[in-house]
Amino acid sequence: MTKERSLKKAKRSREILTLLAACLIAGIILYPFFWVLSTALKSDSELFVFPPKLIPAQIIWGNFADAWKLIDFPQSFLNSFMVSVPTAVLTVVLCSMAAYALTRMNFKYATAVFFLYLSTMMVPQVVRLIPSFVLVKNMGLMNRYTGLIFPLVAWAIPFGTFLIRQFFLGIPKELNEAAYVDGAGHFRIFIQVIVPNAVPGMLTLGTYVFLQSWNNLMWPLVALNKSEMFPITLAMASLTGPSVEFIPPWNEVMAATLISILPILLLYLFLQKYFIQSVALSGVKG
Amino acid sequence: MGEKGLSRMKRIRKRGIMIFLFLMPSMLLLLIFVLWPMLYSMVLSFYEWKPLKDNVFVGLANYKELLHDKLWWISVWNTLYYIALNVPLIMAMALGMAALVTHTKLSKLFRGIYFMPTMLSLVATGIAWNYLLGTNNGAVNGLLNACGLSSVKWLTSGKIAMVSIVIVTAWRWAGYYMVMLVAGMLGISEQYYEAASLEGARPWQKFWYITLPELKPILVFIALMSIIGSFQEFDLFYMITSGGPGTSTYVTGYYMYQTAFSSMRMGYASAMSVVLFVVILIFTLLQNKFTKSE
Repeated sequence: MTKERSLKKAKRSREILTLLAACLIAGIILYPFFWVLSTALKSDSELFVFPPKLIPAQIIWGNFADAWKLIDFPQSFLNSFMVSVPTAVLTVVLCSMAAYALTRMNFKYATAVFFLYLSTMMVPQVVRLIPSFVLVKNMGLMNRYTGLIFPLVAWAIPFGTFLIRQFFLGIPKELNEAAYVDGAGHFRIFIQVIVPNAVPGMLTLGTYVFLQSWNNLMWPLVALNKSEMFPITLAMASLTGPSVEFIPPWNEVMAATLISILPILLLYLFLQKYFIQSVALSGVKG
Repeated sequence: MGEKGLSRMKRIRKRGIMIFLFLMPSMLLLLIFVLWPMLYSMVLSFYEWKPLKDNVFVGLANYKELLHDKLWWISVWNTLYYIALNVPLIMAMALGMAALVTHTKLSKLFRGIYFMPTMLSLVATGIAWNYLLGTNNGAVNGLLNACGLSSVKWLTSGKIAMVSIVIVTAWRWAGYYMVMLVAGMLGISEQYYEAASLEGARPWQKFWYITLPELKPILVFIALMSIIGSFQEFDLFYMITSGGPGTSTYVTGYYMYQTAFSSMRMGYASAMSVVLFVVILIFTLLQNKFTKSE
């Protein structure tokens, strides 16, 4: 009896310890977020107080208004959207079509084609960078949305096809075989049978690719040189960093950083499940 | 050939066209922006390539220059140093997070928080940490002072700058790999743990003798994946240190970018990219080998 009780007690204290440790790590992860917010709200003079205080002595909401003027936020957000949304949609459509062919059309070389797609994952970013730049330049696509979109789609295709294929394999074959017997063509089966059953998979891939292209720095850095085309990442990068001569006051920079990540944080709030799932899937199946 | 054979051939041809239609768009993009660039990189690496001027074939000259390029070897060393610090730290953190979070109350909430940095662009991450790690009025030094420790020159000391970037990298990526490990942990059969409990195993024993061995394939996958990723890391170095102070955080990806797009020496940079490709390819093949054999 007493042994059981002490065992229970040990289990309980272990649970509390785990919870405390989990909170500690959460604190470490959230620490920068709190400081960014706190700094964004500080007055100019308080920036030089050391050690800095987490709760500002005086809260200056006007910093956000000043930060809004640092870069052309509406234009940068628009640029980011005009690149990320088409990239995500196009990737999902093309990968779904490829995955349909690979899983539903039973042709001889399906496995070989699938491995070809997979093997292109081995080509790292550094290798494709320079030739892609040359290509986009020669095609006259520098400083254009399409010059960003097409390469980004291409680079997302290997993983995307892999992911969607996994989802398609989970859809019972009887569904499309029944439709085939009824005389439906591949386009109709694809759109009316397979796609409606693979919506979660497509959303998972879509959110993943959207985020990847929204956050991408290197490709816009290479393929754009007109500042009115800059997506939010590049616009923010031109604000601070060691290559910048004049860095605005930190409170405004932090306020601008918060504004810049707000759309993604909101999206995360609603689509968390899909973001996390895309990562979990890429790990388990290797 | 009878009527039947003809219609059968027609059907086969129609099927071929359909397969082609479904595969062509994605294949075309792969050819243009992945396979062709790979080959063209190799070709370019044999040329002295200057914009506005003609390409000059120089044979292996770029590779020979690379052998004697001091900055290249410094950047190689720095990259290896970055990986050696980075990969174990990320894995330990991801494993710790996953172990804490898998079966805890509020597990969803914690997972959501740990994964959050993964959402941020490396640009925003870089800007925020640039401020946090400031020597004179950064929050991290403020915290150290509050604990009675002295300030650290996080970004201005050549010895410490790389460690700083490693901390930022781990903060940004640990949650990403945690998600994979949680998925793996949830896949381990409860029966193992129940049997161990009956034998009187302690929690850390269960973790050491059941969880870790069961997770081995995923751990190997994560290790190789973060090695491959670290080889290419560019954004954080660009945003936080630009390779400095001095050359202390000059890494291969950053040097290649500089050579190609600041010095405009595309041929030489291509030679670098080909060398990097070979190294990364070796790790990728290792990864495939391990994940297949498990």
